[in-house]
Amino acid sequence: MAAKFQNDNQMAQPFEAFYRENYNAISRFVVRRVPNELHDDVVAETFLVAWKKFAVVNEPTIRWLYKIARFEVNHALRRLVLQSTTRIADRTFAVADISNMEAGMDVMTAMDSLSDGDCDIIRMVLWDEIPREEIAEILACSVSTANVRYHRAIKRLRNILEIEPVSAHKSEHVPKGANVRIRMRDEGLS
Amino acid sequence: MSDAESLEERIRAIDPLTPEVESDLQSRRDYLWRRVHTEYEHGQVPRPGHKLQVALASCISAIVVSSIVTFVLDRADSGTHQASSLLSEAAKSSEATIGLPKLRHNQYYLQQTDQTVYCSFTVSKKVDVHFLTDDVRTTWTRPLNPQFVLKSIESSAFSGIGWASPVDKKNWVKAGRPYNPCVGASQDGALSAISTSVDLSVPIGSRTMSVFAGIRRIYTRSFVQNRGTPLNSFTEFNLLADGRINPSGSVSRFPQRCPVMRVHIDKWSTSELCSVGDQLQILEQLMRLPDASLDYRGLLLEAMAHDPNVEEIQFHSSVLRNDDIAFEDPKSGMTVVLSKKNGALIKILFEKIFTGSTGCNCIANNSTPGDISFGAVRVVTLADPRLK
Repeated sequence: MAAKFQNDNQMAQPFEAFYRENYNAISRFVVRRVPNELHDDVVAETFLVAWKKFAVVNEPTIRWLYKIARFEVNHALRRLVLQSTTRIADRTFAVADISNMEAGMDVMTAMDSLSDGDCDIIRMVLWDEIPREEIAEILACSVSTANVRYHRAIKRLRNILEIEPVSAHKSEHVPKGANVRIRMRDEGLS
Repeated sequence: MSDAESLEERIRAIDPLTPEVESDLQSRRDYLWRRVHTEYEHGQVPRPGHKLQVALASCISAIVVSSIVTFVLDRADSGTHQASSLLSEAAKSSEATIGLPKLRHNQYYLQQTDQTVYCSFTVSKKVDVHFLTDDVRTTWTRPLNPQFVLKSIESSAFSGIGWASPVDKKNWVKAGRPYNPCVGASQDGALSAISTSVDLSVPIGSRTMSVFAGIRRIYTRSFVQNRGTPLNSFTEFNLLADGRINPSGSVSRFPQRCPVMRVHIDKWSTSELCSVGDQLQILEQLMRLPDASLDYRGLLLEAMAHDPNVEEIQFHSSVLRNDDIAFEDPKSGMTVVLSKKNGALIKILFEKIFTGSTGCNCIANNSTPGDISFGAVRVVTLADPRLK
């Protein structure tokens, strides 16, 4: 055990505070990625791993927790794939508005055909609304790389959905890279 | 709005995190903290000799259990053996038929069930109330992708739904609207248990089912339900015996107190494992879920095959056709009717349900007869399901 805490008892209290501070974010992150019945397992595993490393980490942050949660989510999904059968009642997620789901079925199907990495960054940006700097840290890359990854993922999604880019973008005659940067700034991304 | 923004909006619209889910997550915070705390402590403090104790206990349990099983099997008559093997066979064939045809665009699996329940329970001293339901349910099922499955339920052909008489409802209201075992977690005691935003699941880890408003005419009631996907009926049976399958269909990761719903208000089984009787009670509750037959028929048959009391019966009723075969658990009175031809589950009859433990004054006559008939699963094509 690192010098930060003399024993487990000393660590329990700050870790509980850390848990309570970050539970909501991690819980939301997890529930968006795994079937509901796996939520508790994945969240518990995430915090369990975090607790074991809590004493030795320099600065336990939400970004650090997201990294652990991502690992646990992937691990759980891999297990799920191994166990999956052809049953109709496959793993499901709760969705509140069925009409949204019906309308968004094409987007959902398109997202399903994206790579895990593309899906992940889209979810982090649009669902979890994690700031781009934090995403960069979670993905262990620079902020600009994270931005590029996000826009490429969106582009691939658009291609799958066969959405034509609006003509206004073409008419701006702005070099591609510059266009990306301008749009990122507009969206408060850079 | 640019196309990029529009696409981003569309992605945001399918965010599965809804206020209901979020509030459910909040409610699980303390529970999960306790779990993390417990698991951490167990992981940190290895108990000396624990493995040896477990191994010894397992050996002793195995010997005791196998002796009991041998004893029970030896005593069982040949009829029971036959019933057990027939049920096991049907459970296996049920697994084999689970691989239904793959759906093409706009296709759905469709099944109709007809559920009738005649239920009565005691709300106060010497006052019984009576509740009747008869509900034809059509279930459309369509996996949207590996993660989502759309299940839409249309309830129709109601007759006599709700309280048997205004007096019954009055008595129930007068008694302070106690838990109504006939409709699960309903707040008003009527079939509105499946109306918008009301959780249909029984209140055990009731994070498991969300109910939605219908979509135009086809989906008067729709929901997407999360549920575990056990591997096969035998594995499911072991999960059931370990208390890991809840009456709402959710699967617990660890063995837990048997989650069978008793007639006591807010009381649940206190035993660690589920007895055969408990298992059948849970299955009775599971099978009442609108779309349960496809998911749980294998488990039901497997559990009945493991019940040494279950026997083949000559069912004197018009519901039993020449090519049907019926098995009954004499203790609970539950009877399943299978097709002799292909082992398909045709009907379940409940003679008793919610068999209260001794001393319970919640249910007077201790009986909730009823039945569920299951139609064949068909693949249907709908040009536009919302315009049906």
